[in-house]
Amino acid sequence: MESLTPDFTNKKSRSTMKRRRPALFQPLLLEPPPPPQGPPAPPKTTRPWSKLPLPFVKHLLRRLQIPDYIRFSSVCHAWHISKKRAQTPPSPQLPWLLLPRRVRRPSLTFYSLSEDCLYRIPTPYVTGSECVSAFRGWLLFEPNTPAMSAIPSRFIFNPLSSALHKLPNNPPPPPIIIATAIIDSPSPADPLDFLVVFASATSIYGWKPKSKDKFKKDNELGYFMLCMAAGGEKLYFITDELDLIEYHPGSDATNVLPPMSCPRHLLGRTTTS
Amino acid sequence: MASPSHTRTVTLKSCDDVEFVLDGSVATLSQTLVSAMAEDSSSSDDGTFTWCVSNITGEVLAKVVEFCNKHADISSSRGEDLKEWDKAFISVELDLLYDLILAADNLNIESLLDLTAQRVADEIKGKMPHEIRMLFNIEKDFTDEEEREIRREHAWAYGGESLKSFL
Repeated sequence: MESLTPDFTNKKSRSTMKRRRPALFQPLLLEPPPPPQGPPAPPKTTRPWSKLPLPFVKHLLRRLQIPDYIRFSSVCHAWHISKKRAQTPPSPQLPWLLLPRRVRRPSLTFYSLSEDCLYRIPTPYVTGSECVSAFRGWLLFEPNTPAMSAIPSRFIFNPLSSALHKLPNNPPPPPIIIATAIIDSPSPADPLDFLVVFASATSIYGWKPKSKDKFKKDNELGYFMLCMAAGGEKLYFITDELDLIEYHPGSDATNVLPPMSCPRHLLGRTTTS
Repeated sequence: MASPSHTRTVTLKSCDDVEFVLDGSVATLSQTLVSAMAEDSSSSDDGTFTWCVSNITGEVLAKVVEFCNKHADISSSRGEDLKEWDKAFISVELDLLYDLILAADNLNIESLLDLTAQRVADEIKGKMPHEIRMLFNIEKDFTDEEEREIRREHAWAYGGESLKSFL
């Protein structure tokens, strides 16, 4: 067995190790292959690529990553116009990662996994706020310095459209927020049709940016909520009794779930409170 | 009364007079042909239907027919094999790709529009506008001023950085 374990104290030179190492391990030590001798010049096309049929443009726009989708407009006049005519919003994308914010930088930095690339998107009020939740392109911000009156207490911001909606202060905020989340409405055709939820240990506060409806739901069952996660149209809470509670704001239905019936994709999220 | 489209035979004629005979079930991939056959009541007896595509050459139409035959074949039109086949099929030069886009649009073949769109999406992925123009031989017809104005709203999308710049 000993021979299978790499011995890192071994003083042998790297080249010797390479020769002795089984072939299977070699790729780990190898440098990436040198890039090919310059990319081959693409053959010049003779077709009028600025003229694309509109149905094709609709198919194409649906398949573009957000940055490609944006840059599509600035290729030429014809592409710019056909994108406007197509009225095809970008398709759901692989989520971006929001990276920790550098102090005083008035932007958020996102990492696009599919492109392996960073984008810094200017964001208003960002130096006095913290992004606490994200949903379908919207980010929910909470102030991190309560004294700064110039900053809206809470807002949602869409970094791609730059749309910003301030959230009402009254009746929320609850005294002590244990969690915030954004959840889907039953008919999410409208990008603004969703529900922002704040939870304290005993109550849930909701707000709909679309209709500006507010609601407050007091916990009638008498448990304390420790943490919350959102999935689809439902909220999931873990209580101080370690029960898992499912709440559906649409129908105001509460269920105590048997252990382990929590949707699997939520398990990772509910552990952070 | 015309017979149902899937039992008929369709003859496609290119602009340079090359003819292709398609099974009716294959022709149903083209919405243009489906509509044309539904309207047509002239050739009810012999069950054949002829359609001239005015702006597609025989070379391009041959590719389109090859695509439709493959995709209409139920035994092969499932799963990974078809994906591989599509990938090989669409690995063509840009001139032919453009012709296929026009043909897919003209004959309204949804799956071919999808495949050509995916190829173009792959081509422009991660490229800046000037690189896209160079690739497709598109002339820049914006003034600098106009280009700046269009870029202004989402200036960040033109300045992707490598992850190293953050670390």
